[in-house]
Amino acid sequence: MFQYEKALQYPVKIARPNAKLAKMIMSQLGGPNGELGASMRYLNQRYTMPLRELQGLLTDIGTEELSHMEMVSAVICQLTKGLTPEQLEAQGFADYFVDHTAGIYPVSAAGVPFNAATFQSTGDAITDLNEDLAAEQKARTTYDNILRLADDPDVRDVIRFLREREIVHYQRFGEGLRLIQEQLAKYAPDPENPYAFNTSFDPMPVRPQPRQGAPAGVSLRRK
Amino acid sequence: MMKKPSKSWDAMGKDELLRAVQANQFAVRDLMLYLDTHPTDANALSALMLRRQDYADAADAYAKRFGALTVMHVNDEDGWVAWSNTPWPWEKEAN
Repeated sequence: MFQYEKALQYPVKIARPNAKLAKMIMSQLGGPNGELGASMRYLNQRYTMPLRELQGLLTDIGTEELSHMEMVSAVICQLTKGLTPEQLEAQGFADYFVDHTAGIYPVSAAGVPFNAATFQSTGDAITDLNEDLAAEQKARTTYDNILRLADDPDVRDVIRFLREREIVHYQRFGEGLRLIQEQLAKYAPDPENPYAFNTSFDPMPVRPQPRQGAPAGVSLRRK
Repeated sequence: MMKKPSKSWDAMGKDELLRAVQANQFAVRDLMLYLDTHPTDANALSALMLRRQDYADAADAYAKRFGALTVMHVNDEDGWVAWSNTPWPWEKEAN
Protein backbone atom coordinates (compact mmCIF):
# COMPACT_ATOMS: atom_id res chain seq x y z
CA MET A 1 0.00 0.00 0.00
CA PHE A 2 0.97 3.64 -0.30
CA GLN A 3 1.65 6.17 2.42
CA TYR A 4 2.18 9.91 2.15
CA GLU A 5 5.26 11.86 3.17
CA LYS A 6 4.69 15.59 3.59
CA ALA A 7 7.79 16.77 1.72
CA LEU A 8 8.58 17.07 -1.98
CA GLN A 9 11.29 14.85 -3.46
CA TYR A 10 13.17 18.03 -4.44
CA PRO A 11 12.32 21.57 -3.30
CA VAL A 12 10.14 23.86 -5.44
CA LYS A 13 10.41 27.57 -4.57
CA ILE A 14 9.51 29.89 -7.44
CA ALA A 15 9.81 33.64 -6.86
CA ARG A 16 7.94 35.01 -9.92
CA PRO A 17 4.54 33.78 -11.19
CA ASN A 18 4.40 33.12 -14.93
CA ALA A 19 1.23 31.57 -16.35
CA LYS A 20 2.70 31.20 -19.84
CA LEU A 21 5.44 28.99 -18.46
CA ALA A 22 2.92 27.11 -16.28
CA LYS A 23 0.99 26.12 -19.40
CA MET A 24 4.07 24.63 -21.02
CA ILE A 25 5.10 22.74 -17.88
CA MET A 26 1.53 21.44 -17.50
CA SER A 27 2.38 18.98 -20.28
CA GLN A 28 4.63 17.09 -17.87
CA LEU A 29 1.58 16.55 -15.66
CA GLY A 30 -1.11 15.54 -18.15
CA GLY A 31 0.61 15.44 -21.53
CA PRO A 32 1.57 12.40 -23.64
CA ASN A 33 5.06 12.17 -22.06
CA GLY A 34 4.08 13.35 -18.60
CA GLU A 35 4.49 12.08 -15.07
CA LEU A 36 0.89 10.93 -14.60
CA GLY A 37 1.13 8.61 -17.60
CA ALA A 38 4.58 7.47 -16.44
CA SER A 39 3.32 6.50 -13.02
CA MET A 40 0.24 4.73 -14.40
CA ARG A 41 2.37 2.88 -16.95
CA TYR A 42 4.76 1.39 -14.39
CA LEU A 43 2.30 0.79 -11.57
CA ASN A 44 -0.02 -1.07 -13.97
CA GLN A 45 2.70 -3.04 -15.74
CA ARG A 46 4.29 -4.40 -12.56
CA TYR A 47 1.71 -7.13 -11.86
CA THR A 48 2.73 -9.27 -14.83
CA MET A 49 6.47 -8.58 -14.84
CA PRO A 50 8.05 -12.06 -14.69
CA LEU A 51 10.91 -11.31 -12.29
CA ARG A 52 10.21 -10.09 -8.76
CA GLU A 53 13.25 -7.78 -8.90
CA LEU A 54 11.61 -6.04 -11.85
CA GLN A 55 8.24 -5.91 -10.11
CA GLY A 56 10.14 -4.06 -7.39
CA LEU A 57 11.81 -1.75 -9.92
CA LEU A 58 8.45 -0.85 -11.50
CA THR A 59 6.97 -0.27 -8.04
CA ASP A 60 9.84 2.01 -7.06
CA ILE A 61 9.96 4.01 -10.30
CA GLY A 62 6.14 4.19 -10.51
CA THR A 63 6.08 5.55 -6.97
CA GLU A 64 8.82 8.08 -7.74
CA GLU A 65 6.76 9.27 -10.73
CA LEU A 66 3.89 10.04 -8.33
CA SER A 67 6.32 12.28 -6.47
CA HIS A 68 7.29 13.92 -9.77
CA MET A 69 3.62 14.53 -10.55
CA GLU A 70 3.43 16.33 -7.23
CA MET A 71 6.54 18.40 -8.05
CA VAL A 72 5.24 19.41 -11.50
CA SER A 73 1.92 20.36 -9.90
CA ALA A 74 3.77 22.38 -7.25
CA VAL A 75 5.58 24.28 -10.04
CA ILE A 76 2.28 25.04 -11.81
CA CYS A 77 0.61 25.98 -8.53
CA GLN A 78 3.34 28.50 -7.66
CA LEU A 79 3.59 29.87 -11.22
CA THR A 80 -0.13 30.70 -11.30
CA LYS A 81 -0.62 31.85 -7.71
CA GLY A 82 -1.68 35.44 -7.04
CA LEU A 83 -2.24 36.44 -10.67
CA THR A 84 -5.34 38.46 -11.58
CA PRO A 85 -7.64 37.28 -14.40
CA GLU A 86 -6.19 40.16 -16.50
CA GLN A 87 -2.62 39.02 -15.89
CA LEU A 88 -3.56 35.41 -16.61
CA GLU A 89 -5.17 36.48 -19.88
CA ALA A 90 -2.17 38.62 -20.84
CA GLN A 91 0.06 35.59 -20.22
CA GLY A 92 -1.96 33.38 -22.58
CA PHE A 93 -3.77 31.44 -19.83
CA ALA A 94 -7.37 32.53 -20.58
CA ASP A 95 -8.43 29.34 -22.37
CA TYR A 96 -7.26 27.16 -19.46
CA PHE A 97 -8.67 29.65 -16.92
CA VAL A 98 -12.20 29.44 -18.38
CA ASP A 99 -12.53 25.74 -17.53
CA HIS A 100 -10.20 25.32 -14.57
CA THR A 101 -9.55 28.76 -13.01
CA ALA A 102 -6.16 28.19 -11.28
CA GLY A 103 -7.01 24.57 -10.46
CA ILE A 104 -4.56 21.83 -11.41
CA TYR A 105 -5.98 19.63 -14.17
CA PRO A 106 -3.87 17.20 -16.20
CA VAL A 107 -3.71 18.46 -19.79
CA SER A 108 -0.99 18.69 -22.42
CA ALA A 109 0.60 22.03 -23.39
CA ALA A 110 -1.95 22.16 -26.23
CA GLY A 111 -4.83 21.66 -23.77
CA VAL A 112 -5.63 18.02 -24.58
CA PRO A 113 -6.79 16.24 -21.38
CA PHE A 114 -4.80 13.29 -20.07
CA ASN A 115 -5.46 10.10 -21.98
CA ALA A 116 -4.53 6.58 -20.88
CA ALA A 117 -3.99 5.79 -24.56
CA THR A 118 -0.63 7.58 -24.19
CA PHE A 119 0.80 4.50 -22.45
CA GLN A 120 0.65 0.75 -22.71
CA SER A 121 0.61 -2.30 -20.51
CA THR A 122 0.92 -5.16 -22.94
CA GLY A 123 1.50 -8.00 -20.50
CA ASP A 124 4.71 -8.91 -22.31
CA ALA A 125 7.90 -8.11 -20.38
CA ILE A 126 10.08 -7.42 -23.43
CA THR A 127 7.47 -5.14 -24.98
CA ASP A 128 6.67 -3.33 -21.73
CA LEU A 129 10.33 -2.69 -20.88
CA ASN A 130 10.99 -1.33 -24.37
CA GLU A 131 7.94 0.91 -23.92
CA ASP A 132 9.40 2.09 -20.62
CA LEU A 133 12.79 2.88 -22.16
CA ALA A 134 11.09 4.92 -24.90
CA ALA A 135 8.86 6.67 -22.35
CA GLU A 136 11.84 7.86 -20.31
CA GLN A 137 13.48 9.31 -23.42
CA LYS A 138 10.21 10.99 -24.47
CA ALA A 139 9.97 12.62 -21.06
CA ARG A 140 13.65 13.64 -21.24
CA THR A 141 13.03 15.30 -24.63
CA THR A 142 10.01 17.16 -23.25
CA TYR A 143 12.07 18.45 -20.31
CA ASP A 144 14.81 19.47 -22.77
CA ASN A 145 12.23 21.42 -24.78
CA ILE A 146 10.93 23.09 -21.62
CA LEU A 147 14.52 24.06 -20.77
CA ARG A 148 14.85 25.64 -24.23
CA LEU A 149 11.81 27.82 -23.51
CA ALA A 150 12.08 28.55 -19.77
CA ASP A 151 14.43 31.28 -18.55
CA ASP A 152 13.34 31.42 -14.88
CA PRO A 153 16.25 29.98 -12.84
CA ASP A 154 13.92 28.71 -10.06
CA VAL A 155 11.93 26.70 -12.62
CA ARG A 156 14.98 25.51 -14.55
CA ASP A 157 16.53 24.07 -11.39
CA VAL A 158 13.48 21.86 -10.76
CA ILE A 159 13.16 20.86 -14.42
CA ARG A 160 16.84 19.89 -14.53
CA PHE A 161 16.35 17.60 -11.54
CA LEU A 162 13.33 15.92 -13.15
CA ARG A 163 15.19 15.57 -16.47
CA GLU A 164 18.09 13.87 -14.72
CA ARG A 165 15.73 11.34 -13.11
CA GLU A 166 14.44 10.31 -16.56
CA ILE A 167 17.99 9.41 -17.51
CA VAL A 168 18.49 7.39 -14.31
CA HIS A 169 15.20 5.53 -14.89
CA TYR A 170 16.23 4.82 -18.50
CA GLN A 171 19.47 3.31 -17.23
CA ARG A 172 17.66 1.08 -14.69
CA PHE A 173 15.10 -0.10 -17.25
CA GLY A 174 17.95 -0.99 -19.61
CA GLU A 175 19.46 -3.14 -16.86
CA GLY A 176 16.01 -4.66 -16.24
CA LEU A 177 15.68 -5.63 -19.88
CA ARG A 178 19.12 -7.22 -19.70
CA LEU A 179 18.04 -9.30 -16.68
CA ILE A 180 15.09 -10.68 -18.67
CA GLN A 181 17.31 -11.40 -21.65
CA GLU A 182 19.77 -13.27 -19.43
CA GLN A 183 16.90 -15.42 -18.14
CA LEU A 184 15.81 -16.09 -21.71
CA ALA A 185 19.34 -16.99 -22.76
CA LYS A 186 19.49 -19.43 -19.85
CA TYR A 187 16.06 -21.06 -20.03
CA ALA A 188 14.44 -20.47 -23.42
CA PRO A 189 14.16 -23.71 -25.42
CA ASP A 190 15.53 -21.96 -28.48
CA PRO A 191 18.07 -19.24 -27.60
CA GLU A 192 17.89 -18.02 -31.19
CA ASN A 193 14.19 -17.28 -30.93
CA PRO A 194 13.59 -15.26 -27.75
CA TYR A 195 10.09 -14.37 -28.94
CA ALA A 196 8.91 -18.00 -29.05
CA PHE A 197 6.96 -17.37 -25.86
CA ASN A 198 5.80 -14.48 -23.72
CA THR A 199 7.85 -14.41 -20.50
CA SER A 200 5.01 -12.65 -18.68
CA PHE A 201 2.28 -15.07 -19.73
CA ASP A 202 3.62 -18.48 -20.68
CA PRO A 203 5.20 -20.68 -18.02
CA MET A 204 8.97 -20.36 -18.19
CA PRO A 205 10.12 -23.47 -20.05
CA VAL A 206 13.10 -25.37 -18.72
CA ARG A 207 15.77 -26.22 -21.18
CA PRO A 208 17.48 -29.61 -20.65
CA GLN A 209 20.69 -28.87 -18.81
CA PRO A 210 23.97 -30.10 -20.32
CA ARG A 211 25.60 -33.13 -18.80
CA GLN A 212 28.40 -32.35 -16.40
CA GLY A 213 31.60 -31.81 -18.23
CA ALA A 214 29.89 -31.01 -21.53
CA PRO A 215 32.06 -28.61 -23.50
CA ALA A 216 31.13 -24.95 -23.24
CA GLY A 217 29.15 -23.64 -26.17
CA VAL A 218 27.47 -26.97 -26.90
CA SER A 219 24.10 -26.52 -28.61
CA LEU A 220 21.25 -26.86 -26.17
CA ARG A 221 18.61 -26.80 -28.86
CA ARG A 222 15.87 -29.33 -28.28
CA LYS A 223 15.08 -32.30 -30.61
CA MET B 1 -2.22 9.98 27.46
CA MET B 2 -3.27 6.66 28.91
CA LYS B 3 -0.79 3.82 28.92
CA LYS B 4 -1.70 0.91 26.70
CA PRO B 5 -0.82 -2.62 27.90
CA SER B 6 1.94 -4.04 25.71
CA LYS B 7 0.76 -6.44 23.03
CA SER B 8 2.18 -9.91 22.61
CA TRP B 9 3.18 -9.49 18.97
CA ASP B 10 5.96 -12.05 19.35
CA ALA B 11 3.47 -14.77 20.35
CA MET B 12 1.50 -14.34 17.13
CA GLY B 13 1.94 -16.44 14.01
CA LYS B 14 2.74 -14.89 10.65
CA ASP B 15 -0.85 -14.54 9.37
CA GLU B 16 -2.20 -13.27 12.67
CA LEU B 17 0.58 -10.70 13.00
CA LEU B 18 0.11 -9.49 9.43
CA ARG B 19 -3.62 -9.01 10.12
CA ALA B 20 -2.71 -7.05 13.25
CA VAL B 21 -0.44 -4.80 11.19
CA GLN B 22 -3.19 -4.28 8.63
CA ALA B 23 -5.91 -3.68 11.22
CA ASN B 24 -3.86 -1.05 13.07
CA GLN B 25 -2.72 0.57 9.85
CA PHE B 26 -6.36 0.78 8.72
CA ALA B 27 -7.41 2.27 12.06
CA VAL B 28 -4.71 4.94 11.65
CA ARG B 29 -5.91 5.65 8.11
CA ASP B 30 -9.55 5.95 9.19
CA LEU B 31 -8.65 8.23 12.12
CA MET B 32 -6.61 10.42 9.75
CA LEU B 33 -9.67 10.96 7.57
CA TYR B 34 -11.78 11.77 10.61
CA LEU B 35 -9.17 14.21 11.96
CA ASP B 36 -8.97 15.95 8.57
CA THR B 37 -12.50 17.25 9.18
CA HIS B 38 -12.37 17.25 13.02
CA PRO B 39 -8.85 18.59 13.64
CA THR B 40 -9.43 19.59 17.28
CA ASP B 41 -11.04 16.32 18.47
CA ALA B 42 -8.70 15.34 21.32
CA ASN B 43 -10.19 11.86 21.71
CA ALA B 44 -9.62 11.07 18.07
CA LEU B 45 -6.05 12.36 18.31
CA SER B 46 -5.23 10.18 21.32
CA ALA B 47 -6.83 7.18 19.57
CA LEU B 48 -4.63 7.93 16.56
CA MET B 49 -1.51 7.98 18.71
CA LEU B 50 -2.35 4.66 20.41
CA ARG B 51 -3.10 2.98 17.09
CA ARG B 52 -0.01 4.49 15.51
CA GLN B 53 2.14 2.97 18.27
CA ASP B 54 0.52 -0.46 17.84
CA TYR B 55 0.95 -0.20 14.08
CA ALA B 56 4.64 0.65 14.44
CA ASP B 57 5.26 -2.08 17.04
CA ALA B 58 3.36 -4.75 15.10
CA ALA B 59 5.09 -3.79 11.85
CA ASP B 60 8.52 -3.93 13.52
CA ALA B 61 7.73 -7.31 15.10
CA TYR B 62 6.52 -8.65 11.75
CA ALA B 63 9.55 -7.32 9.87
CA LYS B 64 11.97 -8.85 12.36
CA ARG B 65 10.54 -12.35 11.98
CA PHE B 66 8.94 -12.52 8.53
CA GLY B 67 10.54 -9.88 6.32
CA ALA B 68 10.55 -6.15 5.68
CA LEU B 69 7.31 -4.25 5.06
CA THR B 70 9.04 -1.01 4.08
CA VAL B 71 12.54 -0.07 3.03
CA MET B 72 13.10 1.11 6.62
CA HIS B 73 13.03 -2.56 7.72
CA VAL B 74 15.62 -3.80 5.21
CA ASN B 75 18.84 -4.93 6.95
CA ASP B 76 22.25 -6.19 5.86
CA GLU B 77 21.80 -9.61 7.41
CA ASP B 78 18.93 -10.60 5.06
CA GLY B 79 20.11 -8.33 2.26
CA TRP B 80 18.20 -6.55 -0.51
CA VAL B 81 17.16 -9.85 -2.11
CA ALA B 82 14.97 -10.69 0.90
CA TRP B 83 13.05 -7.54 0.05
CA SER B 84 13.02 -7.63 -3.73
CA ASN B 85 12.84 -11.34 -4.47
CA THR B 86 10.05 -12.41 -2.08
CA PRO B 87 6.30 -12.32 -2.86
CA TRP B 88 4.84 -8.87 -3.60
CA PRO B 89 1.50 -7.94 -1.98
CA TRP B 90 -0.56 -8.79 -5.09
CA GLU B 91 0.53 -12.43 -4.92
CA LYS B 92 -1.70 -14.88 -3.07
CA GLU B 93 1.26 -16.12 -1.02
CA ALA B 94 1.70 -12.64 0.47
CA ASN B 95 -1.83 -12.52 1.88
